Formats: sequence, C-alpha cells, structure tokens
Amino acid sequence: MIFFWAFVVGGIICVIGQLMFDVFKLSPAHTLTILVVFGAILDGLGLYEPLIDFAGAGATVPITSFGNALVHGALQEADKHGIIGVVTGMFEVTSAGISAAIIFGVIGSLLFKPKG
Amino acid sequence: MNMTFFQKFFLFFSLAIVCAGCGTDETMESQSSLDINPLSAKPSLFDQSPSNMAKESLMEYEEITGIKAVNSDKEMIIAVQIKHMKRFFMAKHRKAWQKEMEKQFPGWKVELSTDRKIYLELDKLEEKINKDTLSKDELKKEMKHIIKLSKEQT
Amino acid sequence: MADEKKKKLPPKAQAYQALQDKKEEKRPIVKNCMMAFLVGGTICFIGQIIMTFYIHFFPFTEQTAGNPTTATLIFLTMLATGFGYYDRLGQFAGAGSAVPVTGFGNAVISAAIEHRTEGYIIGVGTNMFKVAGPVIVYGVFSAFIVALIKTILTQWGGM
Repeated sequence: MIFFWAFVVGGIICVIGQLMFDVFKLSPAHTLTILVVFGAILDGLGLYEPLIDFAGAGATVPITSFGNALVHGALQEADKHGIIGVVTGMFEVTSAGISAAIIFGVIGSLLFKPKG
Repeated sequence: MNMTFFQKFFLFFSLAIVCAGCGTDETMESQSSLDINPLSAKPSLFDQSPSNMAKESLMEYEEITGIKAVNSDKEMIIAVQIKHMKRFFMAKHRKAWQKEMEKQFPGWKVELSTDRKIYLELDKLEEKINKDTLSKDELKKEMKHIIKLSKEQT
Repeated sequence: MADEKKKKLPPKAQAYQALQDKKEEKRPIVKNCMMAFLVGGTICFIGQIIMTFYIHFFPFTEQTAGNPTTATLIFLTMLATGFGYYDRLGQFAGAGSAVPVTGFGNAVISAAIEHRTEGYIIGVGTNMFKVAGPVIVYGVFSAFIVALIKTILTQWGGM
C-alpha cells in the first residue's frame, strides 16, 4: 500500500513542480527553491510528518523533504536549548542529501568525462 | 502520439503500479484477521500476561491491524501496525495509545511504537519467547536494544 | 507583470513581442504533467523499495532509513548522470526528474563533471553549487523563519 501512495504523492509533488515550469515559466533553480520553502512551511504547520507517515518515500524523496528536515532540526534544538537552537540545530537531522551530492559529485568528476 | 521507448516503458510500468495498488486496497479491506498472538512464556521467564492484557485492550481499536508486545518485570514494549489509510493521523493515535497504556499499567515503563522496524523486531522476540530460547537477562538485553532503536532520530 | 513591461515598449517593439508570443512553441502542459507524474512517482517508488529494503535487512527504523535511502539514490544518480542517462530522462520527464532528490544530485554531479576541465578547485568547486546554492541558502533561511515563528508562538502559548 505504501508503495502505491509513495508513487502517487511523489508524482503529485512533481506535477506541482512541472506546473511551475510550464505555467509560471520558472527555472529549475527557482522551482526547487520554492518547493524547499514549501516543505519548510508545511512542517511548520505540522503537516509534513503525517504526509511522510502516509506516503513514505513519496514525501521523503522529493526536494520538499529537505525543507522539512531543516525545520525539524531547528525545532528539536530549540526545544532543548532555547531559541538559539533555531540557528544551531538546522543540520542536525539532515545532511545525507547534501553530503552525498557533494561526495558523489567530486567522485563523478574524477570518474566520468564530460559529454560534447 | 509519438512516444520513445523510455516513455512507453514508464507508462506501462506506472500503470502496473497503479493496478497493483488498487489490488492490494481490496484485499486489505477484506482481511479482518488481526496479527496478534497471545504469548505464553515458560515460568523461568517473565510472565507475559501484562503484554497479553495490553494486546486485549488495544484490540478494541478498529484502526489496528497488528499488535506485538513483550514485557520484563518492569518494562513493556508494544508495537502496533494500523490500517494504511489511517496513517496520516498515526502520530496522534500513538500519543493517545501511549498515554492509555501508561494509565493501564502504572509503575511500569511502557514504550509504544508504530514503527515497522520495531514491529518486526518484536515479532522476532515474541517467537524466541514462544520457543523458549531466551534467559531473563537475554530478554532484558534485547528489550533494551529495541527501546534504544525506537528512540533514534536520525 | 510581464504585460506591463510590454506596454511600456514603443509600438514597433510591442508588435514584435506579439509576433514572438504567437510563434513561441506552445508547451504541451498536460502531456508534460503526465510524464512528470509518472517519472516522479516511479523515482519515489524506487526510493520506497530501497527504504523498505533497509528497514527489513539493516538496523534502520522508519525514522532513520531516510538517510541511507537518499545516499543510495544519489549514488545511483551519479551512475545515471555519468553515463548520460539522466539527461535523456530529463528531456521528456521535466520536473519528474528535477524535483526528486535525484534531480538535486544530478544538478550537482553533472555540473561537477562538466566543469572539471576548468580545474578541480575553481571549475568543479564553484559550479557544483549553481542550482544547489539557492536551494540550500533559501532552504536554511526559510527554515530559520518558520522555526523562529513556531518557537515564539509555542512559548507565548505556553505562558
């Protein structure tokens, strides 16, 4: 069941991105940035975690989950250490996406040749 | 419509997934059997009737499709699986059920989880108890390990 | 907003703009959305398979399995990008390949590969963040604002 909903919810988030491309004529950088902010806002409203419970990878794989993870880290740290935690706790919960992208980016540039 | 091989492949694959999803929907609804088994531990181990009582109480909730529970002399771990469509409100249910179990077993340390991994681990532990392959210390160690797992954040 | 800009142009330029709008290729929005849905959904489906694999065979819980799943997906993206498949996917999938975290990985990795001729420090190091940069900057900043607001509200609510 979760596989079905992962497919559907992931697809829907991508359709939202596609509408940003086609209807609002935004670039990929703009679209991804807006989606990350969107994910952060949804987590602030307490809606993103239930979405993850329901759709699994359909909510954790799209870039929106990055915004969610940042807010989560910030809130957790703020819980423990007060309002300064909002600044210090951001990357506590998430670094997998960024670290992996950087690491495999460098490895990729070592292994692969650019195409014409 | 002219489609490349890639596009045709994706279309077919996605239709297959959708059909699979619709299929499981029906079978899940008709399945009324709960995945719970009352434990019977040998006297050399901790008496599992508190866990069995917890299972009885939680069985009342129609969202629940499976319960696994194990206890030592002062700790109890309960793992619950719920119907998929109700998962959106899983966090709310988990908090409510945790409170209820704490009220039902005052003085005990109760951990209730809805995580699939905890459910799988407790299932394995229940089997070991039923087969009587554990000592008291080993049971406590396993429980400690599972509780630690359930607390991990990243 | 774009219309206001157009109205400020002299009449000949306005006429040209109108002609350009007419000749501009209309985007097949419905078809694009369909492909985005299918491809994006499939990538998330694959992600779910990987996540379930990690939960069943490794000591990861539903909470913690997201990280290795992301890392694995980006590793696969590196292979797909390096061999040129991800770009082909992007041509018909649009947002379906850009929005999942694999799209983020592809943006970083393909920039790294493309600019390696300019040297590793400058070429690879600076260009990797052309798309990733805004995402991280505004992700962090918006998370800061959201978390700040929420923390202040809960503290006021508590008092």
